[in-house]
Amino acid sequence: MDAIADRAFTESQTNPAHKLVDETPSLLAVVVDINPLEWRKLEKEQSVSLKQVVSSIIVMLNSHLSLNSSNHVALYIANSYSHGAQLIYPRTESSKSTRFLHTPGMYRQFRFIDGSIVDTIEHLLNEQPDTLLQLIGREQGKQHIKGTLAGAMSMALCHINKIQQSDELNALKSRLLVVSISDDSTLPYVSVMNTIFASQKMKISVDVCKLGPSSTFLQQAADATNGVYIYITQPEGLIQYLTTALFIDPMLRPIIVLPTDESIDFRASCFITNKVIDVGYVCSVCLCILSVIPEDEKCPTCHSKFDHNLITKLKRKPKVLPLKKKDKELGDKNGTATPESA
Amino acid sequence: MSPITGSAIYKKKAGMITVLEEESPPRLIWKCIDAGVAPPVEILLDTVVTLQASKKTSPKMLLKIGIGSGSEVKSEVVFAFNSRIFMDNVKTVLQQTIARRKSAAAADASLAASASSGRSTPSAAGSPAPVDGRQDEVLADMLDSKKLLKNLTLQQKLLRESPALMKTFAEAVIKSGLDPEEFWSTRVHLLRSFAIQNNQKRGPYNVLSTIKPVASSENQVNVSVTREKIHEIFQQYPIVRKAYDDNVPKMSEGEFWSRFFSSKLFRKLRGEKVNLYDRGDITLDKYLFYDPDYDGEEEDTDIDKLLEEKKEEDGSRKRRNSEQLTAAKKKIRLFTQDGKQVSKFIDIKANKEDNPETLGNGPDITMKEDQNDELVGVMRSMNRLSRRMMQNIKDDADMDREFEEELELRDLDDANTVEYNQLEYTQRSNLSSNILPADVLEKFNSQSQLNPTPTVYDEYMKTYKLQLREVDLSAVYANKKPLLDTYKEILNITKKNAKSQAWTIKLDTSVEKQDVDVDLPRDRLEALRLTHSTSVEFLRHFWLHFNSISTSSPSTNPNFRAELLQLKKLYTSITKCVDRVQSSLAQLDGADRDLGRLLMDPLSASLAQALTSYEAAIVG
Ligand SMILES: [Zn+2]
Repeated sequence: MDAIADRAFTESQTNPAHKLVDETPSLLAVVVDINPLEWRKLEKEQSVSLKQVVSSIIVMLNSHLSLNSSNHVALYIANSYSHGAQLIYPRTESSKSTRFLHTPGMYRQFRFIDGSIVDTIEHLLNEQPDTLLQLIGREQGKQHIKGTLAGAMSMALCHINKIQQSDELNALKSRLLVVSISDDSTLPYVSVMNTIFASQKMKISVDVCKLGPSSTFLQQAADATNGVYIYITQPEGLIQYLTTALFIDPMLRPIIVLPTDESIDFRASCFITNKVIDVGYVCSVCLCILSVIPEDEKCPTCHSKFDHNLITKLKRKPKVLPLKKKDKELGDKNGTATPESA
Repeated sequence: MSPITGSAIYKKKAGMITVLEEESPPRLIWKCIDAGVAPPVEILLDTVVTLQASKKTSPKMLLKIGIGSGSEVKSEVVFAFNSRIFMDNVKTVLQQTIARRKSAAAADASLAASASSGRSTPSAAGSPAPVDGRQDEVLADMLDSKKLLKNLTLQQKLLRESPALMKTFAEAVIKSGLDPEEFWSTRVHLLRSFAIQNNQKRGPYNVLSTIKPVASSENQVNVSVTREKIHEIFQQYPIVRKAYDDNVPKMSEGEFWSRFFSSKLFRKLRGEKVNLYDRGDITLDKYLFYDPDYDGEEEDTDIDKLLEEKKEEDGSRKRRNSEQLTAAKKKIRLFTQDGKQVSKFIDIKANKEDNPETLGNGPDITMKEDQNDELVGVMRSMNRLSRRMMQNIKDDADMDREFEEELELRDLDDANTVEYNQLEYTQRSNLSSNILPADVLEKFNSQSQLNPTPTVYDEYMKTYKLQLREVDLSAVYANKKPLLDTYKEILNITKKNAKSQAWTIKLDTSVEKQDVDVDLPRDRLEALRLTHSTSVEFLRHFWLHFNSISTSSPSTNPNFRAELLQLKKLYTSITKCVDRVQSSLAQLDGADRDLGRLLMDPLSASLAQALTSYEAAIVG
């Protein structure tokens, strides 16, 4: 009586992996890190230039547009010393590009888009001050230039959100590609985490194309959003990375195995020193992460007073017995190692 | 279904036989027509062992019923009939009842067998034992950390049930001399949850929601129901019990459940949407139109009258009905208790001017007009289900108290003021470092302002600005070699991920951990694994002591000295762990050793870290 069979039951489970993938148009948003002095380093160390990356990205955007006539693209730059994060394409003001891109026989629409992208970026580059003096001046307190990659990612997400809210384009699936060359210290931790949460909520995958030092936070961003994090070992083959590993349509994500780096570093950043930490302290009120105990015994973020006794306990050094007889005598004399003196 | 009744002769006395098939336990009763001449005979059908009737050809119409237990016949009763049809009826009913009992017994036996082999089943399936205060106390007492550490029986039982833990125990405690109490001290939580697991009773749950018909190929439904679940279904859905009583054994038990799980009735009871045109089951779907509140207790004020009528037309239900009657009466009494003083404060009849200006609380969702019928239906069936589940748990005293508490007015009680702690929030962490390299900035700031030399920025800007002057999109790569290499690299990553994903899936589905796909001889891998888990065990204890000892001192902790010694012993154990890692690696050769080293590297680092920390603490 345990196995009861009846033919009346017609519902059957369908395996989601075998659903037909339809050709819904999609949006590809790209954020490019143009941090000048990082580029200088990269040119020296890996012999890869901004020009190479920008042209590869343009080819990638063209490929995306040619897959489906309703596909869209968006491009942002980040970490510019004088402009921060900026929208490059699509711009509202239309400026006809007269540039000749060395590509005879190119599709007219591409020529227009590509020309506009190159023009806009070059214009921005030219607006950068010629000397460091012009850029930051002499006043020491005002020489801080903040990293704007997280900002550019937020802008891109806003752009995607705007499109998804619009009447005619709301079915558009979107993904975000971040081409990063700077290290994690240029990323404001909380903003990056918020960007990750926003992407998760909007179901937007964040792909990361990483040059230069590797990034823990961007790894986490890709991991949390079913994106691809790939470290570029051979910049000469960049176009290959961009048009294969980083070219996976959102519709395909649930089905295929992603070529992403799976060994993810899940460490967080200290709220005081801005450095990635292995073991640290967490404020029990606001959950902010600390690598050191603040001098004033107050949480730097929410100002909660920490329990003084607890902190004294935390600060106490472990007490151990010396290993050898000889050491023990030494310890006694110095009065440091033995428990009685501590 | 009316019971089978007819005349029969017992010991040469004329009388009436009635088979009370639906009663629990089912019975056969013979009463002498001339009451007082012979005492009535009552046979519990559960005790019927054999059944013999005279052949069709024979003029005699005798039915011999053997009564006993198991297969042993203790006594025999012989009835003589004067109608073969009636005798056959009685015979069939008895046969069916016995057959049903046998299949139930077989199912129970298999259930009992499955229960004894591991899973703990509540002793009385489905009827949760009343909350036993003493039992709770015993359990609470048992869960005390100290007692858990002393409870050797429990520990042994846990070890027997978890082979992985057993292995660690054998390696760390038996072979490497870790104190058993020490071993368990970090695993009190395991002991505790194991103890709870072994003492836990399952409460009532919505049983139909746990039954999921699985569609197999060829549109067949496979459902398995255990005795326990059937019991629960009957308790929570008396309508199903009624359907069962009415239809089994007219149809076989298997057929009944099969029909039930494909009926609309099943879907409706589960709270699914039932469409008029869905396929269902003709026999069982008529119960859809039964009073959904049917649960053997009509909450009607006319219940006495109703029951009186029923009693006449259906004598067999007398006993059950009288039970219902008391239950129903009890309920009604709660509402219409006469003579009891109702506090004026809550008596709405007391004062006709008592109408509050506002309308008071809004009616319950199921009582409002213009509600979505489906929604109300679902809410009602949920309420019914909850009520039945609660009825099975709580005793009446609790119900009364709950009812009183519901009546209590609390709006004049002092409101609780919630105290908040104001937090100031400063977002100082969310700053990125200066994206200008520190060395560039320092050089810039330190140089003479009168005669500045160009910085790296100044120099680089010249070429940086020219980057996009000439862009050739037809030349994004110089030669094909890097493209091919990149292609291979991406393919490799994908392959690796596919492998590891398949492995994770395997891990999820199987209870026993699958072996990692490592190219090492099995025994070697096993040896490394054992070394690893033992070392981790020692590391765990080391850090536990190392970190806790800093907060204690001889004045606060009487065992201070002993703990220091213990820590020192653990330090020695860790140095031995390092040796063990080395020696197990030394047994490997060539490529295997490299792989082994790769596997053990994180462990070696952890061991070294522990040793360094200890040594640092000595000096400083
Ligand atoms: Zn805090």
